[in-house]
Amino acid sequence: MKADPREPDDSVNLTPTHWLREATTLTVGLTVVAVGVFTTIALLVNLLAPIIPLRIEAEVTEAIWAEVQEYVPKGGEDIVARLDTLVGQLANHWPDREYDFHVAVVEADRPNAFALPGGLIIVTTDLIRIAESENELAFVLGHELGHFHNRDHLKALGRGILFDLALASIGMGAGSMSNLFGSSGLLTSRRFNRRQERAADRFGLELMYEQYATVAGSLDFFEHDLGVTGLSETIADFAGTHPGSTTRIKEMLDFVEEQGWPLDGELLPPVFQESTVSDSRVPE
Amino acid sequence: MDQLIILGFPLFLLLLTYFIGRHLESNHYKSIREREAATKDMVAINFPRFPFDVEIERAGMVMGSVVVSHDHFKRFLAQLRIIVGGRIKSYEPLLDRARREAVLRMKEQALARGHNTVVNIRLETSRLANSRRGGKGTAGVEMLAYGTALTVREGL
Repeated sequence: MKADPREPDDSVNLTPTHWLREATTLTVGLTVVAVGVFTTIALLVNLLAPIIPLRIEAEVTEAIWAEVQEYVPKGGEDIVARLDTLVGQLANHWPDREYDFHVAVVEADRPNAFALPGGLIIVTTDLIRIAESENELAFVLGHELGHFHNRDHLKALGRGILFDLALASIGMGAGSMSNLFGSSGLLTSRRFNRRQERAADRFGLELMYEQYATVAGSLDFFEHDLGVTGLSETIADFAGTHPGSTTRIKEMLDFVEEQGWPLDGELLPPVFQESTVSDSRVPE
Repeated sequence: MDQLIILGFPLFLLLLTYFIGRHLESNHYKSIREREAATKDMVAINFPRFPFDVEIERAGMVMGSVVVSHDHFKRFLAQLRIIVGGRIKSYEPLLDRARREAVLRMKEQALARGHNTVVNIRLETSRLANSRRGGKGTAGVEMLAYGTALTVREGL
């Protein structure tokens, strides 16, 4: 017997693979699956949200309320009372509502409003600061009431929880993979969100018309510089939760024209004094 | 825009690590092949003992060890593959390089000590834990090749 030394063979232990092709195939394939799963979740949540009892919503609100309280500026009771009245006036035009609405003002340097479970509407101080008329603010509040009407707040919450659960169940709690497929979920979710925003806009306009017999001032909110200028409308539309402003305004105008509602009319003065809000600070 | 940055930056990093990783791997394979050609005449076998009589002048243990890590791109591919199962092809070159490099280092040590044969070769591997994710992540692998180096009169 004689030893027969040879060089190791490259081909035995290595599978010839084009790595970029492999990465593309796996990423595209898994993204399609992820979008499918997220779409199914979103559809299921949309079906289930309307049948969740208000009692459960109220329990969620209690849990959230403690956290919200930390951001409520001191000395804003007067503003909250006036916002509550305005919401009450608008909600009167929604006779079969089951919610008992209340408003909380939180300190934030971006104009925004959120609908939280149980009838809680969060309004940021910056939104009150920039509102130039009661009508403008009424549209934003009416829009939030629209979310309650369609129970969007539960849908968003349900989707968020189930998306996280879906990612966690395949071991993607955090990290770049979670970012990748989380983004698929986020974009899928935002497609649903944009549809919901359109519906909420229409509901808000309807309440405004019922309250003021005009929808004047409803588009004023979009005329403030909200820090999205410079972005292409398509990108803003794609990346944002809300439809891009131009698209959104056009859709609203089309709807108003379709309904035959007047867009002009007298605007009510802003009932909220700027100084009252701007002097408020978040307690340390 | 945020989404584009969130998706775009990792994608840029992936592509960057793909090209860097490919360059390093290609250089390593070039070095491996050249050194394998240079040491190909050295007998390296894993018989525990010779099946025939040979005259041995000297003997000693030799070891070759290498620690290697995968690049971010290959790790990403492996993570994708783990979701659906199947062969994790992206790790094959990594482990292939590790095995061949460890054996080469062992043979080079034997040659440096004046031996002409290595017998009873064994390969062992261990995972180096990463401090991230509570030690559950893999920083890299160590491949250890060891054997008994012999100086056999007249060769095999």
